[in-house]
Amino acid sequence: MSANTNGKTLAALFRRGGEYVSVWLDYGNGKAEITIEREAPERPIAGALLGRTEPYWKPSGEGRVIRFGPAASGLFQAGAFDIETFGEKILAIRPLYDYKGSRVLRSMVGRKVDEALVLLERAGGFPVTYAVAFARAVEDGVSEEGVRVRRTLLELERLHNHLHSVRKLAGDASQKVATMQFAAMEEEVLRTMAELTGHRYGAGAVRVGGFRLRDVSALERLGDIEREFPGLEDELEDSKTFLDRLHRTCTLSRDDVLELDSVGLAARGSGVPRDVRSFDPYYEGYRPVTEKEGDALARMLVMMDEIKHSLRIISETEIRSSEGRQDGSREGLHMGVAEGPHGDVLVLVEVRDGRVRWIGVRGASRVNYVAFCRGITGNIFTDFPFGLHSFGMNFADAGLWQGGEE
Amino acid sequence: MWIVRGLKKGVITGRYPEEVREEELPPYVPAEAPRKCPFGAVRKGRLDLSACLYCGLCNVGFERRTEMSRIENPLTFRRSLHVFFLDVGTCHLCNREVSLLTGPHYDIHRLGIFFVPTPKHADVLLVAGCPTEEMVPVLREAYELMPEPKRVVVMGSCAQGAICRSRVEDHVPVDGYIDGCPPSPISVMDGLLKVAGRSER
Repeated sequence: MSANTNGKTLAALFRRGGEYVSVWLDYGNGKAEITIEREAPERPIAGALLGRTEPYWKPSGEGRVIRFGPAASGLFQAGAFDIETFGEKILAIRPLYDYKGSRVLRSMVGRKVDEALVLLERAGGFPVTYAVAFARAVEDGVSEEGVRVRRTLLELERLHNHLHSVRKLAGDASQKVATMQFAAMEEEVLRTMAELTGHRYGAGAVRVGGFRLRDVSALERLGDIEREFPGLEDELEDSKTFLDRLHRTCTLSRDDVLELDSVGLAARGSGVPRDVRSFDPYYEGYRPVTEKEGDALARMLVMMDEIKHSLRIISETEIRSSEGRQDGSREGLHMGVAEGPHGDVLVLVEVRDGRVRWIGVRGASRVNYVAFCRGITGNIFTDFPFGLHSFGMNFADAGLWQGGEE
Repeated sequence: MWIVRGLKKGVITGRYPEEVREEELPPYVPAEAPRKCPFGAVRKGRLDLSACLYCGLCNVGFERRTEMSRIENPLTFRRSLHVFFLDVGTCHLCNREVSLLTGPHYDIHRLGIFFVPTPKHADVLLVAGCPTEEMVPVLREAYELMPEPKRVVVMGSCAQGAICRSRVEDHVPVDGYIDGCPPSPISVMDGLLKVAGRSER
């Protein structure tokens, strides 16, 4: 057990055959444990992991309840929040995950593993992270070159997502030039990804047991971003009007993180170094970036540092081949996990005769929307976008599905 | 200073529709019809792009292509276009691509196309995603709220029924389709210019 990460977290909870399948993960040493019980574990995050957010809904009765979303709220995605307010202050809030529904995941059951991977890439907004987590669960292994390719792809995904989140935060504060500068870098990374993989978001590059790329020389395009980013970072972090909007906004204490089993940016921004990369064999000796304040500024600073780490990791990783495959998927129930831009994605999948028979997926957003709601309670409405965009999450990642042949 | 940084960066906006650079085009379009597709995109030997997930499992060669949209019923007015984007169950990638349309590489405002925060002000409802049970009533209400003349354009394979239980056109009349998974920003711009009746180059 690691004192820093506080030992085991309830990383995922699925229903299967009338029982509760709990996945416990110790982010300090990477040890995972699966328990199957008749009752759900008594852990505050259990409700959210099962898709229920009523346990976190504690209205004071002093205000009115409004539903914020799912179409014209400015969230720009099919998701919503119930918010209790008397006009300015957020008195109580909870996320609603059902608008995204189960969508494509249901059709994974019965598919061959390589087809199921294609569907999972189109599930939660982070195709590379989902693909790596799934591939790890079902494959026999991957070559050293495959490890280098996947590490590069994961960091590219982190890079364009973090740039996207910082762009949104700058936009929330009407920092027009900064918004456009970060949007330009985001687009540049997406074009790099398109040349490298044939898909702007990297779908199709990770294969079960291997990988497939188009043009490995595409990574040279990132040189411009490496040169430009430090100056933009200095400029943005020197803008007091911008930083004031983030400072002490949507603050999560370390105790909040530990109580709510928060992961990813939510945890690291509050000083809890939960990062799968710290024990991931794809990364040797990676030390998670953390900040202590727990507010939107702290999470943005984590993203800024991670952008530099991602650029460094990509530049230090040499990729020589565009295709690599190791035959064979494994049978049985297995787990895979990978650290995405927002937090980790965990896949529990059962394969029989080369086909998916049961699958459960937990994206970090499912957990971290609850953390956001804890942090934004007591803030005012104008703080809302700053808090939300500092977590880098989305409702597709929160509204995933579990099920299959029982 | 931000203004100096902005000036130093220069103009990076593409010149679409006057001209289009190769790197702006969607990178993953099958160059030929594969023999078979596990997701049903090949029917009677023909490739149906609306059902293609652009996943590469078919192992045919891929190309970049300009024409990725089909508009069946364009508007006849020649003025600015106001668009309401509605996610009815995306994986979030369509949302990301639409959000980049107002970024410096595409700057869709230069074409007189604007996103509005309510369907009441929209000429076009741009819909993405697999319609989920919870979003179908929202989709119908958004359509009803739009003033005439109005058009619905769907973007992405999901909205057109690929790997989903229902299509957007099962719930509201659809006037145009933009292919891709997700469609590239240029493909979305192309579809919106066509639905505005301004597709001549």
